[in-house]
Amino acid sequence: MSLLLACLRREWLISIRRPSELVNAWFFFVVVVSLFPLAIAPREETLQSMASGVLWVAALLAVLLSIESLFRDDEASGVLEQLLVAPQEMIWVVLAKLSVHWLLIGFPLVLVSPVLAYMLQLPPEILPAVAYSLALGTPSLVIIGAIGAALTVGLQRGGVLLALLILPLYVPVLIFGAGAIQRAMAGDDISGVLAVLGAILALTLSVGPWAIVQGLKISTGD
Amino acid sequence: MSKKQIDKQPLFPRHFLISSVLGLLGVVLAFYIWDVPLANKTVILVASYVIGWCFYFGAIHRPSWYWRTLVRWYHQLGSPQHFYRISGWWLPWLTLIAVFLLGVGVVWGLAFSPPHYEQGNSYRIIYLHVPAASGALMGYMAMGFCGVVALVWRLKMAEIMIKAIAPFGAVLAAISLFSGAVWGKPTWGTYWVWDARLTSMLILFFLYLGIIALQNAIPDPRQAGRAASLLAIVGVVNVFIVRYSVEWWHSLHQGGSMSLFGAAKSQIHPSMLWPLLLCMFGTYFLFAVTVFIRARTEILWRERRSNWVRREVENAI
Repeated sequence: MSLLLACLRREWLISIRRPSELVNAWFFFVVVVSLFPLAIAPREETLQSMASGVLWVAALLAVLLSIESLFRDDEASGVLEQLLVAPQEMIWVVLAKLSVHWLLIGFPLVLVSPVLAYMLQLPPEILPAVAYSLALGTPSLVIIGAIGAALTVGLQRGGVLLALLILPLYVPVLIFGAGAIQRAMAGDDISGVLAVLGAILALTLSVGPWAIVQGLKISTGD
Repeated sequence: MSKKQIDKQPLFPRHFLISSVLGLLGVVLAFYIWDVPLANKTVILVASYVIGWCFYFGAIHRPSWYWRTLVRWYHQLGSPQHFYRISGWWLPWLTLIAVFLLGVGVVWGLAFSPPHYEQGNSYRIIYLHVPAASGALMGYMAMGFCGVVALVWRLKMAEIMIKAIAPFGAVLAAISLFSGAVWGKPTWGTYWVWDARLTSMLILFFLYLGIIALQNAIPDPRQAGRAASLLAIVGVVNVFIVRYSVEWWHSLHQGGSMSLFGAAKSQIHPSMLWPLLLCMFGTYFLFAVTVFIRARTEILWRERRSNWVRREVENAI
């Protein structure tokens, strides 16, 4: 337990002392979403029909771009290898990394998403659905992305490869996440879709950390 | 063998592992086979567990025979040199079977089976589409299985197999997507719809590409093999999504209409079902042939500095 707390504290301090990386991810999300109305005619019905997709794809790309740095610095400085050979369970370290990463990247996206959804002319009663779907979906995105980041950590130009590996696995989350918003707009009950998102989160949370540890072991050559 | 001797036999955890793996294989098989009712799934499940435990008790009571046979198979198929030798014997036969099945199936399906009452002759794309799609799925399952073996037992051969399966699996997935599009135009009126089955098949294609790209990006072959194994295991989820997409979502793509082991009668008339089955099994054998050829080349490349490869090449020249 103290290990988890210590790791949480370490990750928190490292991330918080380099605010530029965090701000980049948030800024990316906001800018990408606000570019779409400029590129496509900003009519209300057009914006409404594409809002769910724009929000979700932008969130997905923001997570994907930020996830690349999850293990990079630890690998470059050799901390990662030390953690792997340490007698403590690596899984707690990974869980700490994932939670801090989601708290600092995923959660702000969830917080800002209702505002952006309002900018995309979504009616106010839909905004909770937007936040719920992103709140349940982004943790899965972080965990799945971390598997890819673990596999590509030591590679030169791993970024494009990471996208190729991870984006296909993101599709179910994307479909159900954007589907939740679309259902809410059609006036349907979204609890079913949210339950599916929760089920995906439960699956990734139970299997993902193990896969991430294995991936890190593989990338560092055991 | 007396009780005392039995007690002396060390109970390797490996026995337990092997029986569990056989059981697990049964689970995968049971849930993957087309249109099997739950009762039959249970039978297959129980049968595979019984077989697994028979092996387990056999390994305890007659270790000399069971155990040695198992160990020999494991080591022979796991060793690149022996695999090269054994696959060399199997390859001509597999090729022969593949050519025979595909030849008979394709000619029967394209020329002799009756035209469809609604679709006319355009339905004949099925003899390309279904075998390619099911081959791509089976290939991915095989890759996931090899991934588990490669990560748990560190078998070099399993890594080589993944590398051998991925390209042909990607080709089959592409063929099934393309033939589906060509078939969709006359029957659905469109080349492509964002339907669950089509989309998940497209993802399968991308997963194959991702595995190939990951293997090419990592210079060390062992490390590349293990990374690809992990990715293959993670991606197996998608195979089940493809399989059940037509049942979970209301889809333009039709549901499964073939039934080999199920109680329900197959919805395809035998005059069309038989050539289709021949084409499917022919494709599986063709898959095996290409995988063997690719695996053999890969073995020669990886072991190029060893003596047996040098001798093999000298004999060939």
